[in-house]
Amino acid sequence: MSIIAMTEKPTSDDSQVDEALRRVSQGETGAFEVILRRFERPLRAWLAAHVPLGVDVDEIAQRSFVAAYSRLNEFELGTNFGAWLFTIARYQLQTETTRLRRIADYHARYGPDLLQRELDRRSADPPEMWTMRLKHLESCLNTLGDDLRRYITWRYDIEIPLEEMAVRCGRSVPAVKKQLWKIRQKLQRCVETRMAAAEGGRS
Amino acid sequence: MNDQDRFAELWTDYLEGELDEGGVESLRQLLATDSNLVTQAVDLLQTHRLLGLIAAEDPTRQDEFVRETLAELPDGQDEFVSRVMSTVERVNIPQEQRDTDRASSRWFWMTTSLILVAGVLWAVWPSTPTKTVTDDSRPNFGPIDGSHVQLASVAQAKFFGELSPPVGSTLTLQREYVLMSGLIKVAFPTGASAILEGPAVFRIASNDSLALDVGNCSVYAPAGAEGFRVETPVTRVIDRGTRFTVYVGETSETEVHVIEGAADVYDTGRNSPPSEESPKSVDGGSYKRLTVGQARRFVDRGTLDTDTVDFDASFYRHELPDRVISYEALQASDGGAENLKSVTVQRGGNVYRLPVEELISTRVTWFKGSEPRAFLCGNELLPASRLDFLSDASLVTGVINPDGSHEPLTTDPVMTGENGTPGMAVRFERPVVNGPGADVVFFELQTFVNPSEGDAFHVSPLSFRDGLKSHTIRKYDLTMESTEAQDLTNFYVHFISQSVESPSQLDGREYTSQQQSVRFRGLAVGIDLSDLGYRNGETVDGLFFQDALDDGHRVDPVFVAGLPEIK
Repeated sequence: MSIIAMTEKPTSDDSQVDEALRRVSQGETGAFEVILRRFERPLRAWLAAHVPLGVDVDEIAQRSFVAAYSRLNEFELGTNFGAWLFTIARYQLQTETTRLRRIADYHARYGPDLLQRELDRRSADPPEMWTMRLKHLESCLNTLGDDLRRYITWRYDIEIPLEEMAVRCGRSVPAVKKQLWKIRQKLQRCVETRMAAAEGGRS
Repeated sequence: MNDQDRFAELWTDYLEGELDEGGVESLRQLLATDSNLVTQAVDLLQTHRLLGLIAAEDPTRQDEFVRETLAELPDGQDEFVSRVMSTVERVNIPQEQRDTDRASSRWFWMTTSLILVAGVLWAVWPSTPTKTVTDDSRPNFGPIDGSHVQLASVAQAKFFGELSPPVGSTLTLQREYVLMSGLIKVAFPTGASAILEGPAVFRIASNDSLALDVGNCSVYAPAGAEGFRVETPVTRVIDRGTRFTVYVGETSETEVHVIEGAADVYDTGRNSPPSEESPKSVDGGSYKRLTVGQARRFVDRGTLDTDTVDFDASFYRHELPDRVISYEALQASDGGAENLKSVTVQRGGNVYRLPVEELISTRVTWFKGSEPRAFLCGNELLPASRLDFLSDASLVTGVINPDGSHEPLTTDPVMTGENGTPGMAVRFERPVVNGPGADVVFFELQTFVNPSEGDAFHVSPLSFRDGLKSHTIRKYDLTMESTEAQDLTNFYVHFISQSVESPSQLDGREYTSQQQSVRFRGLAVGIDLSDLGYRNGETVDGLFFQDALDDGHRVDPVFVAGLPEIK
């Protein structure tokens, strides 16, 4: 279930969320687990695409949930909890970005501030878009042949060094880097195509 | 190099964490001049992040996140969190996972039924080529049987005084296993796995612990398998997250290298007082926690005194090497294997079952055997074209006992006239593409009075160029001691009483036949064209084989074929 479905029309999921929030507000803290399980993946997907470089996604996600829990008395039951949670997450993100900007050598270590500005600009994108992108990316991964997919497995699943990848595929390290570049571009294009097709299908 | 190429290079280095200060500055300048590059960079960064997120997806990950977040909730919720956490610790498996386990059990029976039905259908249906691909590179596979410790896979494993247990068999608790050489992977019911490398002496101490007396093991304990233990004569190493290597020397000193996460090392002696550096644990013992990138050598029992050792990630084995894992063959009437049906190989970490119809067949184009010998094996009567013996699917028909050389070739073999190069050349039906792992499979027949690891041979390019070289195979992937090597059906050997100095002579010489009276087995080895210096993706038309002349036994090829390209 994506956030798109949740925000477009009420679902049984929404009623479960409302019920859980009602129980939490009445002191039944355990019901917050329903909220965590419902929003954990979309929130992490959105954060993964926007957190500043060098920052742990889970940490910001956790802070966002804890903040939402702490300020639950400010939330109006019956309104859109997902939107409220993502607003809190956006503030958490801004706080972290500001903190990092104040660290003198942050950009020297993590790269050009132009990138961060573009990331900041994109944080205004609707959060549900990132759940869709994640889903499309999973589909695109499934279209990769085994020969390309193994690089993704090595790089992201088992996280082996480039040198070991080079040994495993019998190529040089620069050739492995070039391959990773091509695969990321291919996946990027695939996701864009699917997003465009989905947009076209909805309009 | 244009800006786009430069950007591709810098940005990949950036994502791989390999960009130095100078590189960051170059990237900054490049991005400042072209806003399209900024867009492209952030697009790729976000895709990169989402790929990381997908890789981290795991059935237990959400549970972990939920538990940790609940534990972070503000004061006032302590009682609730404690209750949740204590339940989690006591049960050790979240409810959701238990449900999954029950579902898995139902799934197991459904799958088993389907396999039985499929097996019956397969037996009566005309055979069609199929390729099944599984990924053996992921260490967090589920054990075949969820309640026992099992031998998950083997690579050239040789045990002292016994054959290797079959893959998939249950390993006996508390029984001492002595792995003389090769590698094995052991799967535990919790999801943990250990790759042991011979020589090693070990026992399965329990469903979540391994006792290692001597040798090297690489442990992977995914989420849900935390707490997995490796007991050594001087330490107990407890997993606190994912991957570590334990090496135990002959004098019991134990070296631990943590590749990911953390491991706690306890001394197994009871009399050692805890020190500041060796804090007391909950059970009264003392321990040292090693985290990622740390390595220590523990020298003696009863103390956690350590020697500093350099951390070496290369000690850790993520998977068994690429190899021929097994093969299937149709049985003859005497119960022995005869016609190859499929071969299962690990290539680039992935396991492929390749039906024989999909393999690239070969034809003998050169053969030289300078002394009268048995050069052919097969049925009682030879066919019109004896050279086909190497390419047909039979594992008992072959062109055997080619000449050889102590030294492998360094120049092109001569394949004409009486001064031709000793040995045998084959050409593939279509070019073989050099990919990851084995690209060619080589089967020979062997009996118990022959070298148990297979007859050594050289394999060389038909045409040398800079970078190409010969490669010598001295140990087959499936040896006489492999449970996957099958007993062959009876066959005849055909003696030719003259030397054979060309393929046409092999095809035309008179012969006498003799039926074999001893049992032979089919051994197999994969040949990686990269070992001959071929580049990845390069195509190869043929190969030259020579016996290594390391003993009185000659190599007996019965089936050689190229493997299809991995796409």
